[in-house]
Parts: sequence; structure tokens; C-alpha cells
Amino acid sequence: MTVFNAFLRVIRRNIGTIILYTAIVIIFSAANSGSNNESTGFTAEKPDIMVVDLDNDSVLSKGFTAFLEENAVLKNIDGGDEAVADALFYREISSLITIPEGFEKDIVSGKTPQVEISSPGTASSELTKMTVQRYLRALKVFAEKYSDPDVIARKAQDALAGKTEVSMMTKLDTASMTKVSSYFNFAAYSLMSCIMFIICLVLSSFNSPMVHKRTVVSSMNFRKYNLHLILSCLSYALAVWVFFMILGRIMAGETVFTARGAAFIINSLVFTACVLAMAFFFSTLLKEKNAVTGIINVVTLGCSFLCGVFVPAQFLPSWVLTAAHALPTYWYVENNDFLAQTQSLRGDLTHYIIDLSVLAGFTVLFAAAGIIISGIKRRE
Amino acid sequence: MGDKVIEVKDLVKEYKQLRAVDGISFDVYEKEIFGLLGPNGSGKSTTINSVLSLLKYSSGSIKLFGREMTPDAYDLKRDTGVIFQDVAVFSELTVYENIDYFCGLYITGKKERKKCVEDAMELVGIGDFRKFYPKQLSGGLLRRLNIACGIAHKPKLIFLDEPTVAVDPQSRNNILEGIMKLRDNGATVVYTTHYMEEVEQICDRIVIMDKGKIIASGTCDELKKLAGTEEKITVGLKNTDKDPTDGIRKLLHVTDVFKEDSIITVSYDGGTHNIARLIDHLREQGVSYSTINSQRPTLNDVFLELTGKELRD
Repeated sequence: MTVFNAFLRVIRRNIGTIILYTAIVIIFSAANSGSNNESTGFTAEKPDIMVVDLDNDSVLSKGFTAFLEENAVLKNIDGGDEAVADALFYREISSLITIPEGFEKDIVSGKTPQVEISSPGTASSELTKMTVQRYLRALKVFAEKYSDPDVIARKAQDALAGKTEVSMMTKLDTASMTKVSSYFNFAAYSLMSCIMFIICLVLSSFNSPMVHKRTVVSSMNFRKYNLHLILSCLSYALAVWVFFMILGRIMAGETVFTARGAAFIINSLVFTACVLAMAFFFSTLLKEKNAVTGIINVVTLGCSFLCGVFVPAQFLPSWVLTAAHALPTYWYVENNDFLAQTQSLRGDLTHYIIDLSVLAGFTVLFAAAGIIISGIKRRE
Repeated sequence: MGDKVIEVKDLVKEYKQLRAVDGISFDVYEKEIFGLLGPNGSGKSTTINSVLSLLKYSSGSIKLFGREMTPDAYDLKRDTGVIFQDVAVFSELTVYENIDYFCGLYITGKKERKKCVEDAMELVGIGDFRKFYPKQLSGGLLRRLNIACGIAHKPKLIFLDEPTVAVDPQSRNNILEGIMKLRDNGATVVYTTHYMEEVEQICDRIVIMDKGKIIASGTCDELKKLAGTEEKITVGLKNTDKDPTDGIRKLLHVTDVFKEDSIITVSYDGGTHNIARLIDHLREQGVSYSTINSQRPTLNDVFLELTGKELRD
């Protein structure tokens, strides 16, 4: 217990670091939980638009406006062209639809009127464009058969009245899943920092040449001493992991303790083992405590930014993601993202297991490299 | 002399191009302070590291308590304590926690360990600083902590490798007194240093090393006899009108007289009351002087006599 007690005492002196990284994961997760990504149901989107009717409230222009009212939220912006331009810029409205003078006349005579649509090019404005095109096509079709604007307007209205029934094929609660995957992705940074930083610091104390020398000349069996040190590191890493899993339950909700949540937990456990191996590897290279702070910050922040911990992977350039394949964090985050998106775990476990295997491979690689380097140093 | 605690025979340690220890042999006996003296690079630390199995030596044999010392001789290590030249403590642990940790590498029992830690703190005089972290201690106190960490488990054999380097005089005296206390309490001490004054002050027997070889060994008095002179008297003359050197040379036991400016140095090969005889002679000759000092030979003189160079070169 002597080694373990000293290990805990050295950790206690660095408790501020652990609190700092815990605070980071809480802040990031809490900030992310504000963005709701509801997708368990379907609600048709109604964009905010403004309609200017220059056709003096003709029958067809009125019918057109009524149709738009059904499919969008009509807004009226006072203050002239400048106010409307500002409204478009600040997204108060997504489109300005101008029904031209002679709109009805053009339709009845078989011409295609030039309905002007001003928009900032958002998804909502594209939806509005489609709605307008749909209505104009219907008017054109009925104008070929009928000449009475009332009939054309009514027929078009009836034809477009049908609503598409949308039923959700999946029961996946993507909102909760996003919350869980975000938490586990952010936890990668905190796990790496808490484990690598502390273990490298503690081992740099235990492995400092003079303390090491004093240990070697002591009557404690050196293998037993090393075993105690390894068990201490394992216990610490496990305690940090358990802590972040409990925190995950608080931050990300009950989903953490579902079957899919268990898959996230297993992924994080394998990642924790990999981080521990990385910590061991870097501790064999770093002897100076000042160097530990600098290098571990570079490693943890670098891995986090390159592998999609802070910025979702889909927003990263492809060359960054290609390079990130060489880092274990990438496979951990990739597996989290996969778990958040896959419809069914049962039919698609291969992807999950491959990612876990790659993480396990990295664990073996770092542990082996650490053992070889420490062996070389001991012989020196 | 008591039983042999250390037996070193024909020890050789070679590095690629260098023979750091060149076939040395010596014995250390129970309850003595054994001094290993020599300039930097003379092979003292290599010898100690070989004895402790920290280094694999090229040839020879090393026995501790009558048994061969090996890296896994943990029962022998239980009775051995080492204080290295560089301070070896955890910066994250307090004074008490540091001593407790290093003592815990030898003693698992909590109660026994607690007593050992308290005794060690008392011996080196750092009890008042038990809750201090190493960073808060002065250089001298840090050295005392370093010693406490090495002796807390009450070893029978203690190695001290230059424990007083860069230590203030008060702490140095405290450390030396502590070492003598350890010997008085029954421990055998091997003390390596290049400070001859310390060796003269505390060591029962001394080995002088140079270039990996033992060039002299014995008690302090035995070694001083090798210096070829027993006493040196230095006289500072008030005026240099008269040269009294010829008369002094004829005095009893005088082996050499050397005059440089107004300073005369007189060497003796023995005898008593040499200074009184010299003062009488100067008075008779009407030679007035401002200072007169008597100096016994030091180990530096011995080293100078044997190697032709100063111990601190």
C-alpha cells in the first residue's frame, strides 16, 4: 500500500487539474444540450415570407396568396424597400415574393408570369421557391383547359390541397443520441487530459532518476514495486472513467443506461485503456514536469481538434480526417458518431467492433512501445 | 575491530574506454565510520554504486554481511541505507510523507514505521518542518530530509555519498553530528567525500582513491605520517633586515626552512614544543615577528605527497 498511498498523495496535489478538466466537459456538454435536434416526429416547416401583390388583388393573385398562406407564414414588413432588405438580411423573412402586374392576364393567356422571388439562399427560401413553382405549374395546367380565373384558381387549390402523409420509419431518438454522443465525444478530451496529464506527472515523480535509484537500493522487490505502480495507474484510470460515466448519466440522461448507451460506455472503456497506454508511453519519454504540461496539452488538444471532439467530424476538411486516422481518438469519436446515427445496433455491429478493435490495437501498440523504451532506458 | 560488514576484493569496473575502478580491495568493519576520500572522478561513487549493485561491475567480488551482494539480495538491502549526493525526494509530498514513503519501502508495519519516521526526524532535526513541502525548505534542511529518508528504517549499514555538498556550515555540523550518532547507535557508515576536513573529523578509517585505485589507507594519524612532515610553523617577520633561516635549520627536528618575502615556513619531522623552541630562538637572535602559526599536516598534504597534486585539483 506504500506505493499506492504515495500515488494517491501525489494525485491529491494535482486535484486542481482534474477539477479543471471535469469543468470543461460539463461546460461543453451543457452548452451542447441546448441545441435540440428533435426527430422522433415530423412537422412540416413553414417559412416566414412576405408577399407583394402588384396585380391589384386579381382572382388568381388572391388565390396564389391564399395558397402561400397555407404553406408559409405571411409577414408584413413596414418601412419600404430598405426595411424589407434588412428583414431578408437578418432572416426575419426567408423570401420576398412579388406577384407581377398582369399576373392573371398572363396565366389566362397561357404565358408564364415572372414571379420575382428575393431570398438570401437559405433552405427555407428554397422550399418557398419550390412551393411557388408547384402552384404556377398547376395554374398553367388548368389554364389550358379553363379560361375563367375563378375556376382555374379553385381547380389549382383543390389539386394542391392534398397533403403527404409522413410516417417515421425509425424509432431512434436522435435528439437524445446526439446529446449522448456529444457528451462522450467531449469526454474524450477530459479523459485524455485527466489520465495522461496526471499519470505522466505522477510517473515523472516516481521515475525521477534519484527517486528511482533510491527505490532500486531498497528492500522492496522491484517487480512488486512496478506491479504496485501499474495497479495504481489502472485504479486511477478506472476511477476517472467511472466518474465520467456517472457524470454522463447526469449530463446526458437515462439513455446512457440503455443498450445503446452500454455500447457508448464500452467504447469509452476501451478508449480509456488506450489513453492509459498512451500515458505510459509518454511517461517513458517525458522526465521533466514542465515538459509533461506542454507536451500533454499539445497531444490532447491536437487529438481533440483533429478527430472531431470539439468540431463535428463532418465539418472538418477531408485531409484532416485522413490524417486523423492515425490517432486513436478518431476511432473513438467515429464509433460514437456511428452509435448516434445507426438505426439498429443488431444488424450493424461489424462497424462498431472494427472501431473497437482498432482502439485495442492502438492500446497494444502504445503499451509495447512504452515497454521497449523503458527497457532501453533501464539498460542505459 | 568488529566483524567485517563489507568485503571488496579486486573490484574492477570498466566503461568502454575507461577503467573507472582498477582492482581495489578493502574491508569495512562493524560500527566504524569508513571514509572514502578522493577528488572528483577518482572512482568513489562508482565503487559505492557497484557495492550497492546499482552498477554491474566487470570483475572482483563484493560481500555484505558475509554474503554476496546481488541486485535481488533484498534481505541484505533491508539492512542497508543509502543517502545519495543529489536530493531524492518527492516534491508533492511533505517532509513527513516523504520519510514515511521511503521508510515504507523497507517496513510495512504502520506503528513501527511511525516510530522510525519520528526518530529519523529527531536525529536530523527537522521535526518542526514535518508539514513543509521540499520546495519550502532551505538547501541545508533539504539535505537533512534526504538523510532522514535514507536512514529512517534504521539500517545497520549506511552509505553516504557526499551528503554535505552545497550545505551551509550549521547544517553541515548537524549532519556530521548525526552521522556520529548513527555510528554510536551501532550502525556502520561508509562516507564518501572530497572534503578532507570532514573525513578527518568523523572517520575511524580512511581509504584515499585516485584514478580508480586506492593510493593509501589507514587511520587519520597513520595517513598523516605519509605526508613526510609532522608539523609546519609559519612565521611572519616584522622586518627582513636579519635572515634567521640558517639558525632555525639547526634546531631540533627541523627538516626544511623556506623563506619567501617576510614569511618563513619551518617543517618538522616530529618532536614536541617546537613552537616554543622557535620563539626562544627568534628572541635570542633579536628577530621580531608579527604572526606565528603552527599547522599539523592535513590529508591534502598526504594526497600531495602521494600524487603530486592537490586533493581539490
